[in-house]
Amino acid sequence: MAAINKRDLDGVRATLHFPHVLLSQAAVTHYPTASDFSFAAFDARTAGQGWSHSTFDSHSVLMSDPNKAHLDIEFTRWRADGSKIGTYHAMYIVIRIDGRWGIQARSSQL
Amino acid sequence: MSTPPTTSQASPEVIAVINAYIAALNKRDLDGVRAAFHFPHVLFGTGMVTHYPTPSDLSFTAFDARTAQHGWARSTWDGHCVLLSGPDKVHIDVWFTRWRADDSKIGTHHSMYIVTKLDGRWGIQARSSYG
Repeated sequence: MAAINKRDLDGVRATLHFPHVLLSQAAVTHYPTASDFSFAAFDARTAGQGWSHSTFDSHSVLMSDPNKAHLDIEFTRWRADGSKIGTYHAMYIVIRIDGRWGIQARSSQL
Repeated sequence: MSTPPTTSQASPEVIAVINAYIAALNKRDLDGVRAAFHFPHVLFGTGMVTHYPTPSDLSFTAFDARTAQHGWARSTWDGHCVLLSGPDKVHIDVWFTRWRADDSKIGTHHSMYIVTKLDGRWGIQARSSYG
């Protein structure tokens, strides 16, 4: 969340595992490698809304084992003037590979 | 916006598509399995992501690789619980058991299915397994 708010692409990539998959309402976007990942899909979803930053509001663990967790993530998108765009839920698959936890997939209704 | 489910029971349409998938799998009916899925379809295994862009990319190869050495003969779908849902997308904890031909149990596993409604049809878009 911190990296996306800073538009830090390498920072976002560092929190993900690849292949990484985004399952939005409209499409399944598959990123085989880190270099395939950009802000294009995010910008397409937020364009026209005046997005400025997001906050990570809460989470709950839906299913988990020592190396894989499915989480319900609640987050809010905000404009620069402090007005709220909306609060949403997404399901994140977070896995541990070679000792590092990273986000493997995100599934939202957006 | 998705919201936590008000019920843990999936709708009849969602249950029907999972039933159709298990039935087709047990019959080794590849077209039947494909008909229960939406594409692109994604399988999140243990440490592996398998992406099927189109129905023709899907085969039983990945399933056979996971089950061949166990003597798999069939699976039963034992139960489910809706975890996160919206009007056109449901995340479901599905638990199922794999069996051998002699009716001995291989094991019971949980998977998270993402079932989506596209163009009026419910289909399984992704599966994330622990087994």
